[in-house]
Amino acid sequence: MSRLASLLVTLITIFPGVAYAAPDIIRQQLPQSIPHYLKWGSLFVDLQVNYFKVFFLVALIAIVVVEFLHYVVIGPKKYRESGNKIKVYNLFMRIVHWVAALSFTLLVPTGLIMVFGKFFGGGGFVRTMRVLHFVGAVLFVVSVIPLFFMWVLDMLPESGDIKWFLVGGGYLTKRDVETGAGKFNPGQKIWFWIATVLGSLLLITGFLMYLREPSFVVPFVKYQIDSLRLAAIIHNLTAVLVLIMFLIHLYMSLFAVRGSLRSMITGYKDEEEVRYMHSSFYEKIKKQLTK
Amino acid sequence: MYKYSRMKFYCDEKRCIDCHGCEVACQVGNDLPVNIARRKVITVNEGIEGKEYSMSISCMHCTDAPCAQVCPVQCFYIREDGIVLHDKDKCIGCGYCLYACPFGAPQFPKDGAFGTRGVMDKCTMCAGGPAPTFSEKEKRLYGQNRIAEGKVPLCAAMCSTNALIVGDAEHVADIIRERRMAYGHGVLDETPYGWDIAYPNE
Repeated sequence: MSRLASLLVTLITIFPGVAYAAPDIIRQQLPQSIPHYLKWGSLFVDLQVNYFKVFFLVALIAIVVVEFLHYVVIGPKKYRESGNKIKVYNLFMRIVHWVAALSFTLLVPTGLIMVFGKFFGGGGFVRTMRVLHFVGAVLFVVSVIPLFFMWVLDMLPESGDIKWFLVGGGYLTKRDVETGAGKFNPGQKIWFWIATVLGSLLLITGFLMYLREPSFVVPFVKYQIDSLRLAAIIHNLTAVLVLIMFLIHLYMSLFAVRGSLRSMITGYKDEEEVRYMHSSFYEKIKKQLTK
Repeated sequence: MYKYSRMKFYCDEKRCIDCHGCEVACQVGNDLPVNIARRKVITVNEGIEGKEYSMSISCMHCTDAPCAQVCPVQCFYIREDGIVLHDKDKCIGCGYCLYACPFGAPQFPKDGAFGTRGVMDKCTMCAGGPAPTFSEKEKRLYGQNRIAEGKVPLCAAMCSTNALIVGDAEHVADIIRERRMAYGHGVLDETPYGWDIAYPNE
């Protein structure tokens, strides 16, 4: 943990240093970049004025409504307590996941407050949210790398995943069905790849916008200011996707499956839950247990 | 003033001698920090004989100001006379106005904790800001309010060759037209940057 803490301190102290070192490139390129405004500049204005806010609002409302309907109509999964516990997450995994969880709980609300800053009236409150958004990004940097490598092998597609899709993950019925999923179900796998790959994309574009005058140019664009415009566009569009998946993940862990949060606290899942929700994983460990 | 008058800057690149006087006048007159350049002189086609020219550039106070459109907290407001101003108490320093601006007008001081960027600063056409006119706060945040005093903005007031002119758009256009006639070019041979519309889609 002390190594983690020192890494955090280093990151916080290095970032502003980079920001100071960056020369005033945008100003130097101004004469050349003005005539090329129509390419990325007007695209950014059009998206920011007409689309980004709508995307975020529709995603937020649609997902919350769907989750609410699912909770009312189908209801949460409740499994009989068998008492037999199966260890699924070790302490390291739980710590890394909780750091990532903390970073997301910081990043998502602060990001949404900035998107709908007009609603909150701007000023000191939204400005503070911008700072917290950066703090969340630092926490995400330190958690995303171990998170990726500790789970990447478990997150590769398997043959049982097809069955999971066919039965709708077992979430569309009140009966207990064997979903055919391995240690992680395909929903978790999609979320894993979105959170790590698109999350890294968000980190890079966000860092570009944090620097404001980066000393390097994003591919496809010629000028620094256009790389910032492109970064803002990618950051917003990617954030919509991540927001959707994050809300689903949150709902699944907190409401959709009773007691699923316990596995992230204690590291153990109940045998009954594993038998149905992760049936092919259950088959595997059952063989190991009987051996 | 006419009913539909709009205040506009125009820099005559045939008169601008690259002296950077407007930059200095703005910096000193408005007590700006070192890394803030509300106005800057740029040279286009530098080194190419016959094609090289300089011009002074700043916030062009666009009619459909894209900065005001993209601002997530809507801290911009456009005065009745067309001057685009913003509220520094509302601004969160996100930088979107810089991405939206064709001219690189919005400036961001690095004055926050850990050297993070502070709230946006830009040319006010020496018209102060939303704080009470002539108040200490207005002077500190936005600079002088020369428009309220009935004076020409600092940059245009000191321009020794009268390259940089400011005022009601139609009046400025008349002056430019007269000058172009005198040069022998006939009518305006090109559309000036950001004269009325920052980009043609709107």
